[in-house]
Amino acid sequence: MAEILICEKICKSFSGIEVLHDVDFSVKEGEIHALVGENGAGKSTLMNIISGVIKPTSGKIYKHGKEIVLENPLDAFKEKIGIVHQELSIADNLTVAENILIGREPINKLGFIDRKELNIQAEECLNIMGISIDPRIKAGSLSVGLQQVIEITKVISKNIEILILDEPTSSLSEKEIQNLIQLLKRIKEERNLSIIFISHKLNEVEILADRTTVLRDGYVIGTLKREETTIPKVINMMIGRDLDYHKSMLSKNDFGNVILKADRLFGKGFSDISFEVREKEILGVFGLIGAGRTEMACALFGYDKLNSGEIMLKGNNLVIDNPKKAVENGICYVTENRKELGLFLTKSLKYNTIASSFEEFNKFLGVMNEKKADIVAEKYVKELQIDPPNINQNVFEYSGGNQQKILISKSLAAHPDVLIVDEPTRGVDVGAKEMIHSILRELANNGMAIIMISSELPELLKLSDRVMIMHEGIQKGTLKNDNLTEEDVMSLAYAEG
Amino acid sequence: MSKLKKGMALFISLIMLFTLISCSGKKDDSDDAAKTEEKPEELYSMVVFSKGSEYFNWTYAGFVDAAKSIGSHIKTELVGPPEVDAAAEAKAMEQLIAKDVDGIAVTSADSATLVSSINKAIDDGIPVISFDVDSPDSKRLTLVGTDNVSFGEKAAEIANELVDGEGQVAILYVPGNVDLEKRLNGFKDKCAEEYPGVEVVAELNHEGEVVQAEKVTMSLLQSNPDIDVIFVTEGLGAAGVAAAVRSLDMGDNVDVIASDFNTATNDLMEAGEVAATIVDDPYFIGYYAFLNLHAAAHPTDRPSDNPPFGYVVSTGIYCPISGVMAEDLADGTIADKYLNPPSFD
Amino acid sequence: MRSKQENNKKLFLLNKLKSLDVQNYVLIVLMILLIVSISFVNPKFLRLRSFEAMINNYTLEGIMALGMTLVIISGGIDLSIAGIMPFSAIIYAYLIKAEINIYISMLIVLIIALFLGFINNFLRSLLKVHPFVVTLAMQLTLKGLNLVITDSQVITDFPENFTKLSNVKILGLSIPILVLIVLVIFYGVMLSQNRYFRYVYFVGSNPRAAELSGINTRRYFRFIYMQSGLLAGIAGIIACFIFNSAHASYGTGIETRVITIVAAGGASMIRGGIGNIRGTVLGLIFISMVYSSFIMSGISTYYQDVVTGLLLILAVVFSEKFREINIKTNIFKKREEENV
Repeated sequence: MAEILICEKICKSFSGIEVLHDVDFSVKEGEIHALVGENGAGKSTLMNIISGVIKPTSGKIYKHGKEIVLENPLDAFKEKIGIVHQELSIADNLTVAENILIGREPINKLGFIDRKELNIQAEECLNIMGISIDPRIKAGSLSVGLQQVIEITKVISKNIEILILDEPTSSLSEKEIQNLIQLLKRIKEERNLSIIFISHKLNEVEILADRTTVLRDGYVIGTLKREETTIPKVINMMIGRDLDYHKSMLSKNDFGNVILKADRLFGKGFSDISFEVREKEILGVFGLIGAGRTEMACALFGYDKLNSGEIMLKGNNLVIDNPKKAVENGICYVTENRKELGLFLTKSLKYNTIASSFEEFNKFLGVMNEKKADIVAEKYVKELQIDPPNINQNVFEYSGGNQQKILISKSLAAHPDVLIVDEPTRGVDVGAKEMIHSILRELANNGMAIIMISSELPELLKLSDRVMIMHEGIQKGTLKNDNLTEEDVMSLAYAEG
Repeated sequence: MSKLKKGMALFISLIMLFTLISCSGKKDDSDDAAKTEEKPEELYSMVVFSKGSEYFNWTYAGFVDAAKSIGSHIKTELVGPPEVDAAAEAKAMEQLIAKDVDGIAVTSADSATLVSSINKAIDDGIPVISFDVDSPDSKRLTLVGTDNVSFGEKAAEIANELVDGEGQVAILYVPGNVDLEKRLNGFKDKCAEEYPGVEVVAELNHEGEVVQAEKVTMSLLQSNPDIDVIFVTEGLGAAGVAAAVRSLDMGDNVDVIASDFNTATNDLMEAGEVAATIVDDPYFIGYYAFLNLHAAAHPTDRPSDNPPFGYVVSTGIYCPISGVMAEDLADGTIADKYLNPPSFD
Repeated sequence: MRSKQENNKKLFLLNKLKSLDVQNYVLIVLMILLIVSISFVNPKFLRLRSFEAMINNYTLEGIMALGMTLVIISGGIDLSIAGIMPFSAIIYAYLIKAEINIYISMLIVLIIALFLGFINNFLRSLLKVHPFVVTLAMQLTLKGLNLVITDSQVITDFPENFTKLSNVKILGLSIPILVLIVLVIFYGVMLSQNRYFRYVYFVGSNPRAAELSGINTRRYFRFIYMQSGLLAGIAGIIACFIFNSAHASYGTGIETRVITIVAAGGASMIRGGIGNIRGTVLGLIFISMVYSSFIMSGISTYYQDVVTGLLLILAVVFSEKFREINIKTNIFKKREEENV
């Protein structure tokens, strides 16, 4: 099989930081090529380059052996490269036919849409895909799975040769995924289409991919042929980091009493989750995006609704229906989305530090006790080594790592017994990462119970005393961190059932 | 639970709406018992702009009282926008025509915009008369309002008294405003005819506004300190003029003549900063507007000038104009007549 | 296979039924209630005459609501119409009073209105601020300018050839009403049949995706704001036809009424991509009926805004709620399929 698309030494930097390093990548005619890697490995960046959304800093792209330059997405379409983004671009209020044929609607002499012809053409497109949907119904009335199919139909009907699917299954149910896999296999055969398939779900990759390329930290680690592709091998390539750097920070303590106990929690995005966490313990929660871990944490914190289940705090039954109640009862949540949900970026460090515990700083009729606030803010600046140590500086002027520390100090100022941290080191550089890790361990040693949610396994294995594994909203199991390896966790996460 | 709440909210608002509508329909039914059977109900509408203002509330008070004097079968209503918005008045007219009321008295936010809706009503057989602000180009039957020439003459009379036949006068008005120009000319002509010693030395544009009136007066008095009287041709400017006089400390040399009587004028006169004010009579205007409208709606056997409508005073009816001096306020009758009108909503 | 086809048929019929938005049903029900209760109080409400008055009274709002429908579907808002409309009326009045041909004057005014719409969009895309701010600024500027150039005086005494034209009736319909009808039909047909007009749904529901599908969204937004400006210009000229005069106060509060009409018609302010002309026409009839019912029943018009506001919230809450339920049932269906 000839190689239809070759990317040669692609580099890409964002504001001076290189995120793709000399990436070589190629796709053969009529193959399904999976692209896998951890979050931040550079998969999306690479696909955005191939589909013309962003331009590479350096490197060349060849199609059919001829160099091509992609200035914008339309150029990519002209080169018969089509992408289906993770987020759907369906206009709910228009019909299926209009959605498929947008920009190419047949029109009559008056410039009106020729609906008869439009529906016939759309029907043809749908037939090619082997699905029977009435093209006249509104797209908004279809399920997400069918909308995804419409989106793919729309892209394929432009006579493309290369189809890029960015996590197409992330919002689909299991049955819809199976249908999609069958569909992709068929159209690949029928149309000799090349498909680049980005996924976090390694079982799908194993079933579908003719070849699999693994990216890590912006480097291509390797490309596996179908017969070489096994989940453990792919996992190994995805996470094979320098283990020295992940020196264990496990607790040497005896844990205290159980502080928080959750029993059979059900909610939007997760079901049947039970766990307990004790004083001085860090409970790691592992799961990829869409595993339901953040949803679970938000429900625990009263930000989202809990459909059923019991939460016991220090042996007492507790109903938490809003975040205020959670904070009052000593449960604090450090969000993964610090810019949008965590910090008041245009306010000072001091203001942010006391934002979760305002009431303590009330002097009289809502006037803030500035002095007390100063003392508290100074205390956390010192403890968490926030740099620069200026409590009146606006938060947006701090680096990511220091912002994260400010976010943690905001929760600490509310004196929690249980601290839930969600992706505590996302977007934080290596040095700050280390420091945040030791802060968390220190807090636990001082008696706090910590639930740490992360999709970074090394971090979890380094810190957590136990690791709970979630996958697609389901609790796959909880492992004690006794020389636990990443493979142990991954294979449990992807285990069937 | 939340669905229930929303359902409740929906239900309550619906109930509110429909009770509002059905209650108001029967608003005046309470005194129906006394109604004489042979007289069918009649409805007359007054259309105003700046609905809710003191002035038009007084006119409507007169309108209502005149209607009562005819009988309890006469109903009235006050409609129009709370803003100075002729287009909105035209909308109200359109609806009143569709409602087929027995007569409409209208004051126009501007003289032109309402012409076509007034004509439409007349063509439909609904009598329309103008009150206060006229719409002279329309087919309205007559005007009940203020004679602005005599308004100016009255001011001249008072100015003459204040300066004892000899003095310089400045007049503040708004060029282009027909009514105020009439007041200005009335003043000047009267002086020319009867008071040769009273001389109008300045005619200034104060844009009908307090702040502008203050500025204009400042520069006037600085350039010409010999001014004896300042006449402000409309209701708002006097406060600005008085402020300028006060800040230049010329209260002893300059007398201010204001127009209309409102709370602000009352205060200024009590403080001695305004010597006199010229007033027309909104209650009178409303009262006679109704009587004319009723006459127009009830043609008699004698041929009228405006068939098919009844006889009206087609030359217009003008309300009395009077000068109020500061000392007239003492017994409170003036305040009773012009301040705190009954409110209507 | 066969059952699948039947299933499709059913789904299609269901969709047809649903295509008349829930909010439209709500409006129709409210209108019927209104008609029944008002005609109980005042039987004259049922005459053709009062229906005519309703439409006469809301011609200007109706014309501008068509343009606003597109703006709101595209996810934006245009408050400047309350400035452009009286501005156009005033400019037109001055032009025809200067003895310039009344048709050429129309052309000039419409070009100015288009240009103002262009400026709206230009500033919007240049400053990257919400159109609310830009168009509000435009509205204030023009309102001020209207007062400055007219000195708040009414412009009247139009030349005779204009007054003659303004009295022309075709099939018993005045020119303003005819213009409204023609525009309603034009917009209705275009927004359901014309490819370019229909892109507004793409642009409104997902501007990025629209761009990726080959729609030049920059140019499209320009079109959206320019057509809204154009309709405000047409409304300005029509105002001269209706009043035979022009005054700076003509636009008082009109943008609120126009937006109310469009919102009542079911166009969503929360997310773009939802709305249609049929809804807007229903909204127009509804709002003018509410206004009419106040005068007809003799309730103080002070309550009018209170009731309009309540009814609007009611209609919006209703339809947003139903949309949510619709989406939920879809997800529910999905889960069911899975379990089978």
